[in-house]
Amino acid sequence: MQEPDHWKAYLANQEYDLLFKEMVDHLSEPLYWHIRSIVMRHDWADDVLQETFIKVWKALAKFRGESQLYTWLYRIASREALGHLKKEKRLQLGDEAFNFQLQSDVYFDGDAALQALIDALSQLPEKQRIVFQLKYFQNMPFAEMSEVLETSVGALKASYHHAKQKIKSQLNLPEN
Amino acid sequence: MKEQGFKIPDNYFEQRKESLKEISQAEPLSSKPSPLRLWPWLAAAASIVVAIILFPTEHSQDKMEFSNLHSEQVLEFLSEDPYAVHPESFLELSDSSENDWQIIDLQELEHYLDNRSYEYL
Repeated sequence: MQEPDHWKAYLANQEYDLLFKEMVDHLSEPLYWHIRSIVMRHDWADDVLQETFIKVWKALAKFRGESQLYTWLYRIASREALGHLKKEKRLQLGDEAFNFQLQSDVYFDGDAALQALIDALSQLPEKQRIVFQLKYFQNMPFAEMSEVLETSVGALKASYHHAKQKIKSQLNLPEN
Repeated sequence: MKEQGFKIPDNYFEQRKESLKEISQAEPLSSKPSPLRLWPWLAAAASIVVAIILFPTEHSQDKMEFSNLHSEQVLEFLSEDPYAVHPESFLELSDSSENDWQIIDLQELEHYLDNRSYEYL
């Protein structure tokens, strides 16, 4: 994703309010889908989107331009989404697998196959699950995922491979 | 994702964008350095304090302790030319005859040693 050139100028001129509003206009929709592909439920994605932009606004004056702004936003959104899932997991006492509770999400009407896939996903360790979700739902390139999740491409590919094998096994699909 | 069954409320993004833009009015913009960025400085300061306490100063390193001597240092010391280091510590003896020992004035020798020995104790 390429960000507008004038964002760096806004940053240099400390025009934070203008910059923030443009970032909301350009990035809130793709960020929402990025977050939703991690947390699955609409209400959780909505909360995380709000928290992400609050964090972005509070830290905008301290952004030192070491990466692109959109990469920085995606990193914050990813951390917030993972943090949200951890919080939810703590509330799900006694459950081994993570429960996305999609049956109570009025904004989800996936078919039986998708529901089965999500059930299989919820059995995976967190890292494998996130990599698979970003690849499957967002088709995010590994290089981009590496920047956003601050993990090496090799480690991501390995996690994806393991996730795929486990899901195939869960869904009784052939290995190849 | 939309096509797969993940829906959103009608006009969700139009309304959400407006409410998100209001964050910049409601929340103060922080310009203080975050506590996390202070950690490297605090860690560096702590390391310096620990280094000062644990490691000997340059002055104390000059003192030679027998227990700290390495064999290489000892060998190096022994291989030095003693005359070049402390020439006055050696009595010049005549090589003409062993009997020359007999004619050394013992009083003079004692006086010499009394005056010089402090340098090597």
